[in-house]
Amino acid sequence: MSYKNTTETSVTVVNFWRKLGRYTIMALLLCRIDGAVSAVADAIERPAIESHLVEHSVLMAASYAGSHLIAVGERGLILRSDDDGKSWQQQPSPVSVTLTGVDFSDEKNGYAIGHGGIVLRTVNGGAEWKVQLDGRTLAQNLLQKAEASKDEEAIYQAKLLVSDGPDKPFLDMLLLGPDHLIVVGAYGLALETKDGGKTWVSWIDRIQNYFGLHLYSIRKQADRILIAGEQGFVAFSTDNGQTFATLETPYEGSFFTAQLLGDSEIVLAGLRGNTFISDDNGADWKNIKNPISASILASFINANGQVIMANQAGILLGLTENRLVPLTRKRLPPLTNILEKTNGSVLALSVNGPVSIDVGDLK
Amino acid sequence: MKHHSSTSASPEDKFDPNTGSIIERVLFNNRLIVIIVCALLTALLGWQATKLTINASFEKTLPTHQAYIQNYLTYEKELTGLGNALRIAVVSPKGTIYDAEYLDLLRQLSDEVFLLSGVDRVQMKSLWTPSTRWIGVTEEGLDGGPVIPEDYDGSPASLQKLKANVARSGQIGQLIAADEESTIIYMPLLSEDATGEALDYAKYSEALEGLRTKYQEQGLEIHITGFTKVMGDLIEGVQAVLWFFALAVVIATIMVFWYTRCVRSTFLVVFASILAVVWQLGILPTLGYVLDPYSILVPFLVFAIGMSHGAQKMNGIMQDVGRGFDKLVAARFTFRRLFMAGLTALLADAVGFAVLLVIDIKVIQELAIAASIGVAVLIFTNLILLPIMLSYVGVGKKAAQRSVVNDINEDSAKKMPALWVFLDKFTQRKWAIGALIGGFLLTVGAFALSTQLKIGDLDQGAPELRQDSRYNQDVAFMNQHYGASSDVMAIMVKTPDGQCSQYDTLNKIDALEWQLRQLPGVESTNSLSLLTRRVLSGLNEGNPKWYEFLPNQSMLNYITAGAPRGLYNSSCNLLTVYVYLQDHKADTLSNIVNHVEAFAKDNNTDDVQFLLAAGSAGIQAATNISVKAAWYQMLFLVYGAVALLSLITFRSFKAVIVALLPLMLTSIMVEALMVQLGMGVKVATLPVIALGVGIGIDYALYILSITLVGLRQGTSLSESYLRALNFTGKVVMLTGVTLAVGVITWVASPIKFQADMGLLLAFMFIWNMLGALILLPALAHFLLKPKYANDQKSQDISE
Repeated sequence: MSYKNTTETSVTVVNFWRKLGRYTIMALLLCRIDGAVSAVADAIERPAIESHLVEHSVLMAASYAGSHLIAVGERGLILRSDDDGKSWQQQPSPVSVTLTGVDFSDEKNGYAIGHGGIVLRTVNGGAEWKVQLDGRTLAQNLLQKAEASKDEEAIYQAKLLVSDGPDKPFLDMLLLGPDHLIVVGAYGLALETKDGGKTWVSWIDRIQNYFGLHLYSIRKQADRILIAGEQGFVAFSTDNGQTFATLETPYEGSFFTAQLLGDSEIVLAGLRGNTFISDDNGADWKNIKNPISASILASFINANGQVIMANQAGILLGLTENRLVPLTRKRLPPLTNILEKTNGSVLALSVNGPVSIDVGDLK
Repeated sequence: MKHHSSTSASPEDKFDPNTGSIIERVLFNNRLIVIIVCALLTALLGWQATKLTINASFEKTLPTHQAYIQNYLTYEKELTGLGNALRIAVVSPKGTIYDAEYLDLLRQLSDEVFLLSGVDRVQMKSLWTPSTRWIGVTEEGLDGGPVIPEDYDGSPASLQKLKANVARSGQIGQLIAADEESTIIYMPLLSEDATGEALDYAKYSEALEGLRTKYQEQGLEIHITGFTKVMGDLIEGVQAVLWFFALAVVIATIMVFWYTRCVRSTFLVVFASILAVVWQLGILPTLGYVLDPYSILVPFLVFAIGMSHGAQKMNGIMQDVGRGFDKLVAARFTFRRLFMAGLTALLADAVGFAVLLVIDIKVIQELAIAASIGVAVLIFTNLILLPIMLSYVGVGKKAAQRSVVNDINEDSAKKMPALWVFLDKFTQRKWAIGALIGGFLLTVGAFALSTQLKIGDLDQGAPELRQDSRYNQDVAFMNQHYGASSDVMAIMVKTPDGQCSQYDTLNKIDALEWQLRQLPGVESTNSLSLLTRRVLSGLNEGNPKWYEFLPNQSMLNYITAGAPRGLYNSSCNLLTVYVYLQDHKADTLSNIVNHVEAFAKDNNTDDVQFLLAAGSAGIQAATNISVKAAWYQMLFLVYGAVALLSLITFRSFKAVIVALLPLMLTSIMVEALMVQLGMGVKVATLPVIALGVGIGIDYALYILSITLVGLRQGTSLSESYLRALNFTGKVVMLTGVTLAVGVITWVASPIKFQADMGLLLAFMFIWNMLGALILLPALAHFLLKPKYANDQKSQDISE
């Protein structure tokens, strides 16, 4: 019952400010044109400043680039570690928005995504980053395409997007090659590039996300692609993303992370620790028992094929025989993401910087 | 050549009471009336002095016209909890605050504090005040309630609930210690209580100590910090200060007696100096002033200056008596000889103190007034009343003969005291050059060191109190457990009415906040922008990926509407950015101030302005800026005033240079000493250099005025200087050493402020004395020549 309340409240809130926002942002944008030039630029155009707080700031994601690690987080922070997460050095970043994801296809080529519709690209292992996409450009591109297609509904939606300004984050990414990237985000944003960010193809049409729900997680296994999001929304493709079907799930709360196992297994986890598993590509779902009711925000499949999850209570959980078992006793700060390190231990990212969890602690 | 007196009279001549200046005639021909008037004045002012109270005022320590303080005062009413406040940390004996017994005692204490007069009850905060709430970062969006659950009954369940509320209140590190073993009662103070009476710091401090004792007996551990407590502790320490004053007076008396071996005159000199203090303390309440802890040294300084002049008068009279004059005639001759020099010296002191009035900090202005009054009083008690009293009482016969023993042997240098012979060498070229080179090297070295002189506090806690004092231990406790609570700088952001949630403004604040957090000494920050980051994440089901300052106006409006009090004001035209600091060291503050100033320069628009500064650290920063400006301004003015007065006295620019250069060396060396002692320039230490110059000029005036008389009569520099040493030099040494020994005992004072001042003053007494005895003749060798006396326009200053 309480889930329903939550959902209703957030829907009302979201609609409320979305509507209002469109008008006010438009007014604001108009104002800004003839207003004074301020020294503080918008976060999407403002390079991140050097910080000594990097190891105690809100970090969101990390990835190996060859043998070194790159992590991203609040205020455009991009960090590099050459000692497997023991120490971190800040790298220059062209933006000050919160970065929500990072991934590398090899030691040189990688992307980071974040708020403001930002996609950053590096071709030198994370030393330099260039903006490949921002919310303003994105909205303009979508509008142009819509106008070319003469689809009234699409034009209307694209115009709204333009007037909103760059206020929509990308929330997860799927990197399939040095130039092939799929990003998903707030209000149903989903885009694909196959040329390293030069041109983008919208996936919004192929996903039946009529309410513009936030998309929190995208996963791929063989030809299966799964996108999980707000209010129990799950889109599922078995043809490598050409078409998507919406899966019925037994939960109306949000899914923040997902995993695809074997040939037909799907694991979903999210709000208040709710976790479900299906072994028939989403036809039937089983509830997974979880002793901790804190939201699960991240997961990975470790070298042994076990699903490891991290929750907001700062605890790692392991999926064993349809139940989640706490793997850590000590409470860490709320965890935002986890990554299996090459030595088998876990690098957790938290609202208070990176935390390395030794393999020993997992048992 | 007769040496005993600048007048040509000899003891055998009949004294004509109608000679001398008009002032002398009026005073000495009506001696009894003068004595009676002074006695009446003493009775009146002595009675007034009993009404004198010691109190402090937070407002009086503010540089009222400084731009930051102006900003603060403009918006004071709109700001929440940034004024003068006390913090009481209440530590649970059980090691956790989630204990029914602890919470109960905390409630009782909180209630008692609430009822103290002068507490700003609306803004008072503790775990138990309804204003302490947890707010809205839940899945349901914005939610909240009082931290103490409404159905709190002390049961384990409600304690558990409390713990959960505390965790999401954002008060950990502010009201609740990070280790959750103690909580804070935050009590903002009004400058006046309900009846309009000024806050009585001593009484307040006492009431707090009462509460401390009461609750510590029940097992709680209490720590109290805040300006009020510093002042309370200082006032409480006044008794100790008084005992040290008394000790200094006793030491001075003994040394003067050791020098004169004359009970009568020693007693009279001390009596006159104490009389001056009584008058001064009587005049203060008559004019409506109270004695501030920062001015507590002024009475002693008045005494010290009084001793210096009194001893000169007594010495002059004693020597004249020793030469065979009648005590009345001796008193009049001495008055004739030294009144002008003494008057100039005292006027120089008074003006030197009075220039402190230009400093825009009320406590310093009041100190200036108190000191000027005291010095003015000395003109009556020590320059006029003392010689008149001595003309009645006379001096001991043996003592008088002892005092002139050098006179007789003056012609034979070999029989003069070795010290005189030594000092006289500085009138010769070789020694003069040596002394000047030495002085120059000292100046250069001291100057190099003095460039490191810092403005403001250099340590955590209150530098006026000792590091191991109860108060500073309490501060250490706060810093250890609350880190970011006591030193807060608030930046005010002014916007048009109702525009406080505009994206442009909040975006700037968001950027500024993150910049400030990179500065050393910044522990954390808070603002409406930061709240939007937290709340946005809460609105999105607590997902941290939404921890962002979103460029979306309606979102910002929505969050602003639900934001707690303090981040913006009720008419939505003022935002507050809180910067919590590790300490209030001068460097920490100036770093932040400079950064914000630069930021404001780039980002202020016609509508939106970033204004410094409120909060304890903001006020401290403003004070530091004022004090820094005042420091140079004050030095300039003090020296200007002293130079002008010396010029009037000496009628010679060269003589002014001779008198002032040694003083400047002392000033620079004091700055260097302050660096060595780790003392910063602040409201408490600001006046010390002015006082030092004021006292130092006395010595130079007494020695130089006699030397100049000799030079003008055509005597050689050496001879003139020797005569000055005989007449006034001895007493310069006596007072220099006496006062230095007197104040050096203060080093043992439990009040660090007094100990520091004792050290600085002792240093200045000694160096000013050495400067007057060594550098002065050396400079005179190059600048003042006997032929100067051939100048027909020059006047004999004793006339």
